[in-house]
Amino acid sequence: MSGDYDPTAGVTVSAVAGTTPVRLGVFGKILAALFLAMMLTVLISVAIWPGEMKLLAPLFCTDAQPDAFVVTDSYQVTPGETSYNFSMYCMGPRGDVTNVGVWKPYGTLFGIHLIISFGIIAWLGSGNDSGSGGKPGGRKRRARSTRPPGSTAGPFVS
Amino acid sequence: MTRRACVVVLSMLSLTACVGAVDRADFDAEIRSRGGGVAVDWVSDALDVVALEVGATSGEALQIITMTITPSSRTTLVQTRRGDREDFVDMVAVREGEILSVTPQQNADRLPLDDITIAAADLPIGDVDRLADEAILAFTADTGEDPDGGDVFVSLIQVSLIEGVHIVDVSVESARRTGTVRFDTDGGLIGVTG
Repeated sequence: MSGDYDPTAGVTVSAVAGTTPVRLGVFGKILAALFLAMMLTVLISVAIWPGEMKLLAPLFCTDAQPDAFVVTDSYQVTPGETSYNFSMYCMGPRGDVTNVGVWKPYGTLFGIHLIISFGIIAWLGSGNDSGSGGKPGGRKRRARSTRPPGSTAGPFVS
Repeated sequence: MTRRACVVVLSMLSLTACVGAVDRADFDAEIRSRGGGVAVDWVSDALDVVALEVGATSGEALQIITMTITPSSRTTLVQTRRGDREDFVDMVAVREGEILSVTPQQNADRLPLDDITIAAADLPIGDVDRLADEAILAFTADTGEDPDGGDVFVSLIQVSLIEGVHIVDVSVESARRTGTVRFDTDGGLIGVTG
């Protein structure tokens, strides 16, 4: 580790051991959270779990149509290429439906993922701080010595 | 920190799965299993939208010649006199609460409009839920199918003029049959036709 470290300055991220850590300021944290939220939304809400939109039923569905469905429409754009669209619907007990669409649910999910992302970034940052001994009461790690084992300190101390 | 990041990513991945979405065919089947989607709320809302479009004071004040309700697409097609020009007739299509099209009907002023129109308030619009349920029961009684079997649904409701009298036809379908259950404007059952 080179240079002075100020634990209040920001999150320190060291991607590769032995390299100079990258410190993220407030703007960096926001950018990182936005990127993480976008990745979470694409990875979870689009690729892995489209049904996550159903968790938003209390926000978008009325009491008369309480059941949320995420409907997949697939289109063959060109031979060998299939496109999928997702839409959220609210359905009543008589089968009456309201199309909520896709942008409002995805926008809301992005907002929720953004909050989670801020939490993750803050958590990782606090872990880094405690690992460097910057957090009061945190676990303190011994500084790595650059001297070979068994050697004694010289007359000059840095 | 690397270990923590791995825990976060693995936790998120393990909590998720490729579930939660249904394809369009399954969704339509779910609508049919619940009766087809006839509900008084959206039908009344559609009439209010039509009233705004043609200058009538309210949905119940509309003077209707014919009307077609398609529950699967929440589309209502109303042939009605204009409120601001009572000798004019428009065909207004509303889907999911939005105006789809407004088509003027040519030479409507030459028709005996007072004789061929009926106020929406005199139609069993507010009772359309009961009409749909009764139509399914009458249809299944006629065909011998199970009304709660999950595949009998209302596909269309039509208000039309037959020999100077308005009638309400409810089209009912199942996997094996189709039929029409006819009601008068008071909501009384007239009969079932195959």
